[in-house]
Amino acid sequence: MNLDLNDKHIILAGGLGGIGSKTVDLLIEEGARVTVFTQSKNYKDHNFKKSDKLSVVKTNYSNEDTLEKDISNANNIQKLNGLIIMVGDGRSEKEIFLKKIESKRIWNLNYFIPRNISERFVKVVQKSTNEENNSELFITFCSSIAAQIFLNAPTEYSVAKSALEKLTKELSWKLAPLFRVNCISPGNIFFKGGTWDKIQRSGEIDITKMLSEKVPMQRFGETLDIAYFAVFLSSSKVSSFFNGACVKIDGGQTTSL
Amino acid sequence: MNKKNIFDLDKGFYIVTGGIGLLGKMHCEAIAAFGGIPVIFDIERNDFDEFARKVEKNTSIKPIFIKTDITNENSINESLLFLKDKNLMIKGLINNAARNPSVSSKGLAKSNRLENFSLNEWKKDIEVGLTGAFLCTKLIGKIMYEEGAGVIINISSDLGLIAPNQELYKKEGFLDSEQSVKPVTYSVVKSGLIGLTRYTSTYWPLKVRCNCICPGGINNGQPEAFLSKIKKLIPMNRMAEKNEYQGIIVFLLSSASSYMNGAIISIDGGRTAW
Repeated sequence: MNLDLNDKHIILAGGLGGIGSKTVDLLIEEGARVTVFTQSKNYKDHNFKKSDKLSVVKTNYSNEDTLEKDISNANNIQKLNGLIIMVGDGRSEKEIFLKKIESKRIWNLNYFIPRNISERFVKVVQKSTNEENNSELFITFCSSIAAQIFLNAPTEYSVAKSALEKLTKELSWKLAPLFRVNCISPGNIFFKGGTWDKIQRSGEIDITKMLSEKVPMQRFGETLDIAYFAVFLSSSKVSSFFNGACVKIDGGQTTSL
Repeated sequence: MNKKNIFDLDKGFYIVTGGIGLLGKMHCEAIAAFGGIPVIFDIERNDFDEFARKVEKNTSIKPIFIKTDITNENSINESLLFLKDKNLMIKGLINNAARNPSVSSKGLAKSNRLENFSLNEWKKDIEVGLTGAFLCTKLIGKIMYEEGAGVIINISSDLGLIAPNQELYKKEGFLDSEQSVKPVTYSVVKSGLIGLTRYTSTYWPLKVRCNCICPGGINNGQPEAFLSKIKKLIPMNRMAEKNEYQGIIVFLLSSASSYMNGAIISIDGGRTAW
């Protein structure tokens, strides 16, 4: 499939995580220019596929001026076409009601940071385009099936992800037709260093039993399963009428409870 | 995701019911472009020969037409017997057939008002749109399961997720009781396909994946009055072009979507984003 991504410029926030990192590799393979945003101090140690179309920018998601400056800089190097936000984390305490400080941290990571990045991205891109209708511009958020069903995930995580899905829908109306705004809701994705890797190593639950009881396909998803669809949504050639969609990739987990 | 890589379809047959209609042809073109052999199950051959020549010229793959009444189990079985002789496996099924009262350049073709909607019309619509999908899922899904792998895509509609806005179909100069409407069966069939998707996705989940797309309406020569009204209901301010669903069809049939199962995917420019 010709995705027509050659020389399209995409920011991927959270590009050092399991899914983000795989998405970066695929985008580069498709010929896109990718600017990875990260807050990680260790970003230089990360092994992306080598490419002169890849830049990694250490930014500060909490400082909106810095964020806007970094997005502007990326846009000055080459006009931006899209933004993929894979920032988020479901790991937290086990209390039903989290302590206020932890609750704020979870909301910040899973809702406010994606919201703020998208706000600044829209501001920068709108300033630099004269077009009113261009379905080549896009924003893709990454939610979780915890937004839609009870998974016994941390309360604030599930609720913040629900808010992110609602944000997707609000923006899909308010930013159209200049931007397409969509959201991916992954199920249980396994990758080294990820939540399920840690749970498996801790032995706190019987993974085989959980998968056979909860997931019709009886297996974890892989990072590639999500990355492929993130790349698909980045292509205005093949996903030009996608807008406001929240697509689950979960092996059927949310279909049968 | 290089070309001729992840999106390539496994060599085999991909059955498209109602494959000679507007959207069905698009599915077939997409299948052939990625290496699959489209097999059309339809009751009318129409312009298949011309269509097949065009697809073959562009892709070197010749689609197959098998006259099939998908509301009749024997007819489907006979068609499957014909394919069995060809020694290629069935890899996919697209339940696409429906009796669709589309808005033509003159508006909806006839009055479908609920008060007057005949039981006969109800039965015909349900037979083609739902019973046909059920029978094909049952018979073809079973074969794919036994052969070890397969994918089913059900073609629902944005109107499987929301009720039709009957204001769209109103024409000036007619009383409310005389206005044409989208028939009740369209909503019932398209919602039913979503239920069929959920059921099927958990029935053979280790071998046969089943997903559903809910496409918005296609720009196809509708009257200007209709277009100007419907555009206001779609954030992207337009209807879809007929080829805009080809990407997702290939994606869902290919191994790139191997963890996608039971997904109900709206592709409607944002109309159902509420």
